[in-house]
Amino acid sequence: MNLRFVVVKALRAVLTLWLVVTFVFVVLRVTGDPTEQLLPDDIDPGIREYYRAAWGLDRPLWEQYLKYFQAAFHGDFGISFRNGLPAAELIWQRIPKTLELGIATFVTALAMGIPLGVFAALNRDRWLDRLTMSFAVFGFSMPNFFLGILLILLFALHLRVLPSSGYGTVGHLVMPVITLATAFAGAIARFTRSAMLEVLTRDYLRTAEAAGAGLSRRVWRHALPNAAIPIVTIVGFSLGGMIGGAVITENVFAWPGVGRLLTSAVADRDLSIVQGIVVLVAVTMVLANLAVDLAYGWLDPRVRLGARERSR
Amino acid sequence: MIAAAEREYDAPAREASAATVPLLAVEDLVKVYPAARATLFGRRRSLTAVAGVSFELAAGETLAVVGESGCGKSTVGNLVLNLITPTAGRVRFDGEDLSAVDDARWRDRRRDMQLVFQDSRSALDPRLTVGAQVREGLDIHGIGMPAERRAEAEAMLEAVGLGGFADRYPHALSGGQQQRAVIARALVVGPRLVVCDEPVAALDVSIQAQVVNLLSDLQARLGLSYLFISHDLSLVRHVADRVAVMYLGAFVEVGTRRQIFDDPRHPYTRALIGAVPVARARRSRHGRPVRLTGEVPSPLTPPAGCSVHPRCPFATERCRVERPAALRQPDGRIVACHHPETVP
Repeated sequence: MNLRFVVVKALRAVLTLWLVVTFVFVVLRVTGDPTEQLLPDDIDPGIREYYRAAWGLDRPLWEQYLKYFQAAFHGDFGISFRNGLPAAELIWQRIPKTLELGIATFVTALAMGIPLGVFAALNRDRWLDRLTMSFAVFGFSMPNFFLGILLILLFALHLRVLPSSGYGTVGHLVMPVITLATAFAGAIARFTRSAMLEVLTRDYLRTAEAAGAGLSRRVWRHALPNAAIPIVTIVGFSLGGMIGGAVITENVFAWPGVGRLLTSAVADRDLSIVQGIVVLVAVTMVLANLAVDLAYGWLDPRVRLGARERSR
Repeated sequence: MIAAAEREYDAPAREASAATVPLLAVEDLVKVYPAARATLFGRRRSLTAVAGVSFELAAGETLAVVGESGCGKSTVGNLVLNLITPTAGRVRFDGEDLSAVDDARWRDRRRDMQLVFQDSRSALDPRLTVGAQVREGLDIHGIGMPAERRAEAEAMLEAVGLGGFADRYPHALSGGQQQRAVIARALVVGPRLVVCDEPVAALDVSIQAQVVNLLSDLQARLGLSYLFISHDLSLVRHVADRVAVMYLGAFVEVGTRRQIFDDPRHPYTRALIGAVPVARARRSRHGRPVRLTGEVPSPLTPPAGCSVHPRCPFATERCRVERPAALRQPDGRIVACHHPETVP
C-alpha cells in the first residue's frame, strides 16, 4: 500500500465526483424550469421572473455552474426552492435515518448471505445446495417494491404484528430491512458460493485436511479468507445498489430518509436538494470503492506487499 | 487347551510380533466413482479409479508407486490418508484398522501420516506466512506449549534450509523453497509415514535433486516411511526401496527396486522400464524391451480379463477372458500376469 496507490485512487475519486455533479447539474437545468413546477400556471410573469432572478436561474448556465461549485466548496449546496432552507441541512437531517436502515440491512445481508453461500458450497450439487441457491435467486430477482408490499400485506394487514410504515421503533425497521437485505443477501450468497467452490478444490485445503484440521478450521481459517476478495468486491458494488434500492423501499414504507427526500425533490424540481443528494450518493459510492480497494490490500498479501517482493 | 490355542490365533498381531507388523498395510483398496450417463437414458456408468490394491510398507522404507498419469496412483495416496473415502478395502496403520475409526480419531491419527503435494505453490495457503502454516499442525494437534510452537516451527524451517523465512508469504519463495516449506509443514508434527505425491514433478531438475536429497536425509534422520508416488522412473530408481507398478487402477508388479529395474517380469513393467532413455543401453535379462501398442483404455470401459491384454504383444486367449491374480513369485515379488515366465 504505497503513497502513489493512494494518490491515484484519490484523484480518480475526485474526477468521478466532478463528472457526476456536472452531469446532474446540466441535465436538471436543460430539462425544464423549476418555477413552472412550483408556481401556479396562471401567475403573473413578473413574479415568475422575480423568482427566477432570486434563484439565479436567469443567469447563463456556465455562470450558474461556477457559482454552484464555488459555494459547494464552502459547504453551501444552495437553498431548497420549496421552503427556503439550506439544502445541506435538509439532507443532513435525513442521513441518520437512511444510515440506520443501511447499516441494519448491511449487517443482516452479510449475516445471511455469507453463511448461506458457505453452506451451499460445502453441499455442492446436493439438494441442500440447490434449495439454498433457489432462495438466493428468488431473493435477488424479487423487485423491492413488490416484496415490500407483500410483506406489508402479510405482517401488517393479515397478521397485524408489525407497523405497516413509518419510523420510530425497532418494529418499524424490520420490514424495510428484510426487503432490502433479501436481494443483497441473495447476491452475496451466490458470490460466496462460487468463490468458495473455487477455493475449496485448492490443494492447500487438502493439505490442511491432511494436517488434521477440522471442517470449521478449514472453512474459517483457510477457505473463507481466500474467497474473500470476490465477496468483498460484490459487497462494495452492492452498496451502491442498496442506496438505489433504499429510494424505493423508503417510499414503500414511508421511511423518512434521504431516499424519500429525493423522490419528493425530483417531483418538485427542487434542484439544490436533488443535486445535493446525488453528490452524497456519489461520495458514498466512491468511498465504498475506495474501501474495497483498501480491503484488497489487507486481504491479499500479494497486493499488500506489492510486486517488488515477488520472486517470480 | 482349546481356548488357549484360540487365543493364540486371535491375539492381535500388534502384540504378537510388534517387529513384523508393517507400519502400513493396505488390503484390497477400491475406489469407484459414479460417472455421468453416456446418453440421457443410458445406463449409469462408473469409473473404477482403484481396483483392489494391496501392499505393505515397513517403518523406514520407501515404496514407490509408478505408472502413467491417470492410472490411479494419486488416488491410492489420497485413499491411504482418507482424504478420499474408499469404496472398499482396509487401511491398517501400526496395526490399527483405520477404515473402522471415526473422524475425530482420524484427525488425531493424521499426526502420524502426512502428505507432501506435487504443486507446492498451491499446497500453501497464500494468505498465511510460512511460519504460521508450519506452526498450524502443532496448533491442531496441541503439540508443545503454545509459546514454544513458534520456535519449534522455526527449528523445522531451519532443518529444511529455510531458516529466517518464517515471516515470509508463500509467493515470496521460489518453487524449491515452497516445496521445502511444504515438507517442513508435513514433518513438524513428527509423522511416521509421509505420502509424497509427485513431490518434485513441478520443480526444475537441479532443484529436484535438492529436494529429493532433503527427503532422503530426513528419512535417515527421523526413520520415516515414504509412500512415494511418481511417474518419473529415474527418480524412483534413486529413492525407492521397493516399487509398485500400477496400470489402470491395479498393481501389475511389486518388487524391490533391483527386481523391477534390472529384471522386470510383467510385460507392462518391461515396457515402462524400456521406455526410460538411458545413456548406455543395457539389455535386460529378457532381451529387447517390450513395446506396447495403442492407448491406455478408458477406466470407464476397462477391458475384460487382464487389463493390459489389448496392448500386450504376448496376450493369449486366457488373458482376454481371465483376470490374472497377483501372485507371489519365488523371488518374493508379486506379479499379476498369466505368463510371466513364458515371455521371451
